[in-house]
Amino acid sequence: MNTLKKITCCCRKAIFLVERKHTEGIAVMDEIRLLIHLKDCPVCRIFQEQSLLIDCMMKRNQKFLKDKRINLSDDFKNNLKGLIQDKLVQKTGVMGDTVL
Amino acid sequence: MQIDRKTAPSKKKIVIDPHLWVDHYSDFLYRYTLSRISDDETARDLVQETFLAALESLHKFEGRSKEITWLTAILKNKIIDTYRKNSSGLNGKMRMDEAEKQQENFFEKESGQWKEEHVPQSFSADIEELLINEEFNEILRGCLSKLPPLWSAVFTMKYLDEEDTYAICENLCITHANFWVIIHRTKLNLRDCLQTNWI
Ligand SMILES: [Zn+2]
Repeated sequence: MNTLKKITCCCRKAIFLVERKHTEGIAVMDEIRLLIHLKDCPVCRIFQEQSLLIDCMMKRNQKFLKDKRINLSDDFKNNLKGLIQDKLVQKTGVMGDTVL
Repeated sequence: MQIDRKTAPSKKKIVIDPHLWVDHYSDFLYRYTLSRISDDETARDLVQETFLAALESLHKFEGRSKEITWLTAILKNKIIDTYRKNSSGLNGKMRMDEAEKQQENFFEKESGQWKEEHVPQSFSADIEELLINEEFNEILRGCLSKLPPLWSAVFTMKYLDEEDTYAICENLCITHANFWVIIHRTKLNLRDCLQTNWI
């Protein structure tokens, strides 16, 4: 039992290990420590589950990129086109395409 | 088999037409920025700056990548610059020392166990459902926007861009150890914020 005590860890340490485990991996000893902790600690198990949920939500946020409802206003775009036009004239003195 | 060099297709000329940039790419670049920087005005400024910077370096475009890839790379550097700038300012966000202090409060000092008021509670909904729940996702974005700027920069780069840890450390001038502390604290903070605003 004493040996077991030595390799257990507190919640603060356990959740740090949870994070690292899912990203970079952790040492075998830490893995065991974490397993033992999670087995007896429902609260840290909830943390682990929710931590993974946040990871998935962050990754899913990429879909934001395809959300066609999020657009720049026409005013902003027209203004931007004007700026680009001015800059092109200023730079090249011509209005044509740049061919590489 | 011999390759007849004479019949090899000649290198295709790539035409850049900045007049079409706004119509073709501005909405994409805007969304790209907004998913990394929550401030709308900053996002618009960055799109504009990206086009103007691209015009300045038209001669550097070698045609090896697509126009949009090239523009996105310019934008990405601008976003990192903004992260760097923001991490020294505040803009109404939590100060880093405040956030750190708040976190120490999550655990009992001696035992390292959760304090009662911060104990993780079930979100009492199916995880799969929460993942696609718009309201829940909105709360997460709100929580992210309140983080100290450096924290949200590190976190966003790690998850959204799936950047290599070492590249993030180099770009944001932080050590590897510091990176882990930030990721860890951000996660603790976000989870707690979700719990406060959802349950
Ligand atoms: Zn625990």
